[in-house]
Amino acid sequence: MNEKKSGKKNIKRIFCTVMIVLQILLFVSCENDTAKRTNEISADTVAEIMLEAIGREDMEKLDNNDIEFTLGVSPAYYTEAAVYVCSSGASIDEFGVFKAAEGEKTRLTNSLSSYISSSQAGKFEWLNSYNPPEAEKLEDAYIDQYGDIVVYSFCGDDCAKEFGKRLKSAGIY
Amino acid sequence: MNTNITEKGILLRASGLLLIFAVLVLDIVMMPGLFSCMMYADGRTGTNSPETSEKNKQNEMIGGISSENELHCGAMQPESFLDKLYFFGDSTTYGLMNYNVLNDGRHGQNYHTLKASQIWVPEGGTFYLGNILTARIALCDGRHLSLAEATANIRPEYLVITVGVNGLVSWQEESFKKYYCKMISLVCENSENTVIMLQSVYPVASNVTNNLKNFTNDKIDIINVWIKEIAEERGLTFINSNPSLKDENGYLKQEYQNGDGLHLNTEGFNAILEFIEKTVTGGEVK
Repeated sequence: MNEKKSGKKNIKRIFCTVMIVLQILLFVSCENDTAKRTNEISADTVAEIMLEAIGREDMEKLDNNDIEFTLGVSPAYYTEAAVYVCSSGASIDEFGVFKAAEGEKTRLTNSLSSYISSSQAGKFEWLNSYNPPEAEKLEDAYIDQYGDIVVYSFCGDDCAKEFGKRLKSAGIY
Repeated sequence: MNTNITEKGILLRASGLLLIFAVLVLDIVMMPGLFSCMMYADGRTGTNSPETSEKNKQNEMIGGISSENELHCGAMQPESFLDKLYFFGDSTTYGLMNYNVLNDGRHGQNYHTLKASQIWVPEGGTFYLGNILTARIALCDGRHLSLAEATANIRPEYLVITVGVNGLVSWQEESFKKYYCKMISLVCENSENTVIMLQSVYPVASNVTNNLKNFTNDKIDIINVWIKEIAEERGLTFINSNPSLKDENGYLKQEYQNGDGLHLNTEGFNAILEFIEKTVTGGEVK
């Protein structure tokens, strides 16, 4: 009787171990898959997804040669970039998608963080005094990373949620 | 049967001819430019002089506006100094569109007769200097051009820039001057003959609305010093209209403001135009 019980226990243990190993393998493969996808995907593709999420027609792409002048981000930190800003003055909507250069992801992220901080310091008081909803977008600014892709955005919470959904459905996140 | 076929043929041919005739008539009606002299965005009409012909050709080549659009924008032969001015700026410039300072028939008549084509402001009616490289000016012909494109296309004789009030509260001298100089470079690089005139930021009134309390004349005065310094460094005209708009207490005169304490009304803009005309043509600038 006891032998039977211990046999069953052993089978359960083996089964659980196999299941855990399988789950780990599945998780790792998914993670690799995501990383692979983001490595393969271009900054422009992610920017297109963000543009769809914003739904504005007046977003203007900043010339890549002007990124360092405007954002203070060194071109050495990324291999691809797509920065868009609302061109009509009707909104402060702005975002950037960068593909980090090898080993430069941290510096790229720090650089973008500094840019966000200086934008908040430079625009918040002014915007809050005459267009508070736009000032909220500044407050809600964020930086996200998807593999070697780094995204910053001043487009507000709703846009961020929509962007997240669209990334998921595109299989990127 | 045969008769029927012939009748149908005649009817078809007749209706075809009628259609062609209708299209021709429509073309003539819809293209007034065919029967009027050519007009250009900068107000010059097509003449026989070789110089203007060459310039007009250039305008056409770099994307000159169609005569239909120019007529819609109120283009006309320049008669006065003010006709040669173009204004680029934020909401304080956009007001020129709304306070009877134009003569395009949409906003009434006024002593000063600016045209909508002379006012360059993004579609949102405002502009933030930090966005100088991405902002698009909404021209009255429907095009949305960057400052570089607009200057390259239209090549204004004079461009009055009034920028600085947005972000006023937080601008630091270094970053303000960096963007301001970039803005000037965009104009210089694309229209070397344009006379750039940097105008001071207008003062605010004592009753500036609560949400605009951060816009103070002290801060405006600091920005204006920076603008003056840039003008001096670059050898550009500085139009210091700010003091001429102030009352004895240093605030924007009540009769010049539109009610929010920040933006000018018709009288305010008239005062500005008179000031620019008097100082520039009278050689009193700088």
